[in-house]
Amino acid sequence: MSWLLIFFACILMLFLLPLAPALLEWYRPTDDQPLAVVRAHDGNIRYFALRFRDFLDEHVPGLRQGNLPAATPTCGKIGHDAYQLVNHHASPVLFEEEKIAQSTDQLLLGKGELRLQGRMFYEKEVYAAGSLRSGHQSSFRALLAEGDIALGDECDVVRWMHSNGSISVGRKNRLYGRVSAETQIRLQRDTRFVRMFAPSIYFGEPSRENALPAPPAAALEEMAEPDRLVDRGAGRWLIAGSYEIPPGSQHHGALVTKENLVVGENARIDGALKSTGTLRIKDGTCIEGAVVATGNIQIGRGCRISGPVVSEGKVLIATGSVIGGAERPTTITAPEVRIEEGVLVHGAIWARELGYVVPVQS
Amino acid sequence: MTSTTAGRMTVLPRLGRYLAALAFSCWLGMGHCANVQESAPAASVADTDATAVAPADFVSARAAHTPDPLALHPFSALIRKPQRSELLGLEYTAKSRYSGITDHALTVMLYLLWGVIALVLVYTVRHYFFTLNRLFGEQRHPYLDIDTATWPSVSVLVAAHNEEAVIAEALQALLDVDYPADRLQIIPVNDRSTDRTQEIIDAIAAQHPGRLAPLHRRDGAGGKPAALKDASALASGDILIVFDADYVPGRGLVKQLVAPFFDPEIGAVMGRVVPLNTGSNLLTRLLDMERSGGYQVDQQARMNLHLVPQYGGTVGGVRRIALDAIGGWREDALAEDTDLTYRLLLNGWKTAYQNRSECYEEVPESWPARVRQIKRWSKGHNQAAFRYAGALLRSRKVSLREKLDGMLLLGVFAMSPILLFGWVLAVILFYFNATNWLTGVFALFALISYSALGNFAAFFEIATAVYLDGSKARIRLIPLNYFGFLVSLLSIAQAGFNQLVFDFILRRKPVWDKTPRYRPAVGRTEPE
Repeated sequence: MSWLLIFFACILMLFLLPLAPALLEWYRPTDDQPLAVVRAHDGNIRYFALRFRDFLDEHVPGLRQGNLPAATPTCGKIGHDAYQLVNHHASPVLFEEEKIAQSTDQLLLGKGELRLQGRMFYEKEVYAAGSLRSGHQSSFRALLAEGDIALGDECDVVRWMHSNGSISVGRKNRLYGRVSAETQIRLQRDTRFVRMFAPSIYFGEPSRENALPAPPAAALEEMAEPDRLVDRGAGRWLIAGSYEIPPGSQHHGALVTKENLVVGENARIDGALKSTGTLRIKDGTCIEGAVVATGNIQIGRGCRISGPVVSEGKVLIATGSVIGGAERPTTITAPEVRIEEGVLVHGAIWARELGYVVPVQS
Repeated sequence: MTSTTAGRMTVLPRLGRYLAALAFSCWLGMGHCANVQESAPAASVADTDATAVAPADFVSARAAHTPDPLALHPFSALIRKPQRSELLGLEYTAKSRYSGITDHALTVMLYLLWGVIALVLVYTVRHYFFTLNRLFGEQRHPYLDIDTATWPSVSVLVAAHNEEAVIAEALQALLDVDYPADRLQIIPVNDRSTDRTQEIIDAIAAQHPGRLAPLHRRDGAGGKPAALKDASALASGDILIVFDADYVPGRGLVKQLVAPFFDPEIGAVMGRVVPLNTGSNLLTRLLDMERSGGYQVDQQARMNLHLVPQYGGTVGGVRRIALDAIGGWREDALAEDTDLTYRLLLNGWKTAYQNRSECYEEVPESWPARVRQIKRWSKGHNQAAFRYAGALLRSRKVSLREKLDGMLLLGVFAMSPILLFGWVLAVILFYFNATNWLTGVFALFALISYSALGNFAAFFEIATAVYLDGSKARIRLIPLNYFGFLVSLLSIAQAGFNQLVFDFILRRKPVWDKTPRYRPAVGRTEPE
C-alpha cells in the first residue's frame, strides 16, 4: 500500500514540477505591474532639447536669459560632468591634452554667440545662448542654440541638434539623430540625415532652371474612368491592377491602385494617391493630398505635393519639387529618403535607415 | 580551487551519470518497441492459435489475444496491424467492437475527427506563422512617423453607460491630448445611465465651453452600436475615434490614430489595448498575457503580412465617409467592431493596426464577468461569420490572402465547439474502436505532435508577445493559461450552442452585457 502511495505521490510530483514556477509566480507575484504606457509622450522632436534646456535652467540659472549671476564660476562641475562657461563671441579654452587628442569631454555653455574650432570631438552637449558656429570636420554629441547654428563641412551630430532660429550645415555632414529648427534648415550636398523638422527645409541652393512652372488649369483634361475600376464610392476610385494617369489630366478625389501607379506629366490630383506597389509621379505634377505606397515613390522635377509622403521602400524626390506648404507643413516618412538639391520641404522628414542629399549636376 | 568550483566538479559527473542512465533507458525502450513491431506480424498470423505464441513475447501475446475489449496495452498503438494498415498507419475504415454502434457510424466519426484535427492544424500553422513573423519578419509601422500634417477634423466618441467612476478621467485626458483644439470634437455618449454619469459629463462640459458636445440618450435601441449610431449623426469630424469610458488616452494618441487615414485605402484604424488592473488577481494576469498575444503578435503580424487586422471597437477610429458608404453602424450587430471590419473590407477599405498606439483599459476581475464578455464576443463574431463569409469569398475587392485570413479570423470562435466535438469523437472512437483507427508509430507521432504542438501554438504566441513586451517573470504563468483556455473553450461552445438553438431558431433577442468597472473614482469632477 505504501509503495502505491509513493508511486502516486511521485506521479503527482512529476505533474506539478513543471508548474512550480507558475505556482510560485502566482503565489508570490514578482511581475504583475501593467505594461508601461507613457501617457505624456507626444513624439515631440524637440523632446531631448527641451529636457536639456530644463537641465540648464535648473543647474545654471540665468544662462539662457543672459542674466547669469556674477558669482557663477567659469569652470566647475554639474554632477559628474565638467562644464565651461564661454563668453560672448568667444571660443572655449581647451587644455593642451584635449587639443592633442582632438577631443573634449567638457559641457560647453556659451553665454552668447559661440564659436567652436574644427577637427574636434565634443563628447558632451554644447549650448549657446546666442548663435553657434563650428569649423569643419567636427563631431558633436548634441547641440542646442537659442540663435542660429552653422556647421562646416564633414561634421557629425550623433544624438540631436536644435536651434531656436535656423540650422545650416555644410557638405558631407552626417546627422544621425534628431535635427530641428524653429525657422529653417538648410542642408548641402552629400549630407546624410535621419529625422528633421523645420517650417522650411532646403536641400542645397534653389535652382531656378530646375523648377518647372505649373501648367494653366485650362490645359487640364478630366480623367476618364479606368477600365479596371472596382469601386468608386466615398469619393475614391479603387482600381484593380496597375494604372497610368494620362499626362495633363486632372482628377478630383482619392485614387487607389492594387498594383503600380504612374502619374503623367503636369497632371493635377485633388485628393490622395495610394499604390500597392511602386508610385511614380512625373515632372510638374500637383497633388493636393497624401502620396502613399507600399513600394518606392519617385517624385519627378518641379512637383508639388501638399500631403504626407509615406513609403515602405524608398522615396526619391527630384530637384525643384516642393513638399508641403508654409501654412500646411507635412511629413515625409520612409526607410530611405533621397532628396536632390533644389527641393524644399515644409515640415518633417523621417528617414528610418538613410536620408541623403543627392547632388545635382548643373 | 574554490568550494563552488569543487561543488560543480562533483555535481557534473553525477548529472552526466543521470543523463547516461536516461539515454540508456530510452535506447532500451526504443529497442523494445522495435522488437514489438518486428514480432507483431507473427502474432497476427498466429491469431487463430494463441498457444503458438512464444510466452516470452508478452507484448505480442497481449496484442494477439486481447481477451478484454476494453483492456489496452500501453504499446498497442505501436503494433502494426497488417490486415488493415495503410500508409503511415492511418485507417480508412473503423471496426466497431460492439453491436450498439455500426462500423459505418464509426468510420464517419473517424473522418470527422481527422477533419477536426486538420482544422486545428490549420490554425496551428497560422499561430506559428504569425509568431515567427513577429520574431523574425519585417515589421510594418508605416504611419507611425507622421507627426506633422494638416490634421483632419476629428470627433471622439466616448461610449458611457453608468460610468461615474471613470468618465471624468477619460474626458480630462481627452481634453489634454495633443491635437488642434479647433479640429477636435469630443462627444461623451451617455447611454441611459442611471448613476451620476450625466452630472459629471455636464459639469466638465460647462468647465470647457465649446470643447464637449455631450449626447444623453434616454430612449431608442440599447447597446453600443445604437449609441454610436446616434452619436455619429451629431459628429462633425471627418474621422470618428471611439473610446470606451474606462480608457485613458495619452497625449499623442489621437494623432497616432488619425495618421493612417492619410492613406486613402484605410477605412479604420486600431490601437493597442493594455490592461491596467493586471495585478488584481490570477484572472487579470492571465488576461493581460492573452491580450499581449492578441495585439503584440496576432494583430501586428496581420499588419505586417497585409492581411486583415481587426478594428476592435475602442482605441480605434473609422473614416466618416467610408462609414457612410457602407451604411453606418448596424444596430443589430452583437460585435460592432467585427461587423465594421468586414463591411469595410468587402467595400475595399483596409484596417490599419498601430501597435505603438497604446491605451490602458480594465479587464474583467471575476470569472463570471469574463465568461459573459467572451460569450458576447463569440456570438458577435459568429454572427459576422454567418453574414459575411460568403460575400468575402466572392468579393472582387479583396485579395486572396485577405480572403484566407479573413475566413480564418471569422472562424476563430467556431473552433472551440469544433475542438470540443473532436475530443468527444476521440473518446468514442477510443472506447468503441480501441486503437484500430490509429495504428503505426507514425500515426502515433502525428497525434503526439498534434497534442503537444497543435493545441499549444497559441501559448507559444502568448509567450512570444510577453517576450516582445520585455516582461520578465510573468511568462512563468504560461502553463496556467491552459485553465483560462479551458474556461473560454466551454464558454464559447455554450454561447455557440445558445446562439444556434435559442437565438437563431427561437428568434430570441440578444441582450447587451456591460463589462463591470473596478477602478475607484479618481479625479471626479463635482457638478457645480
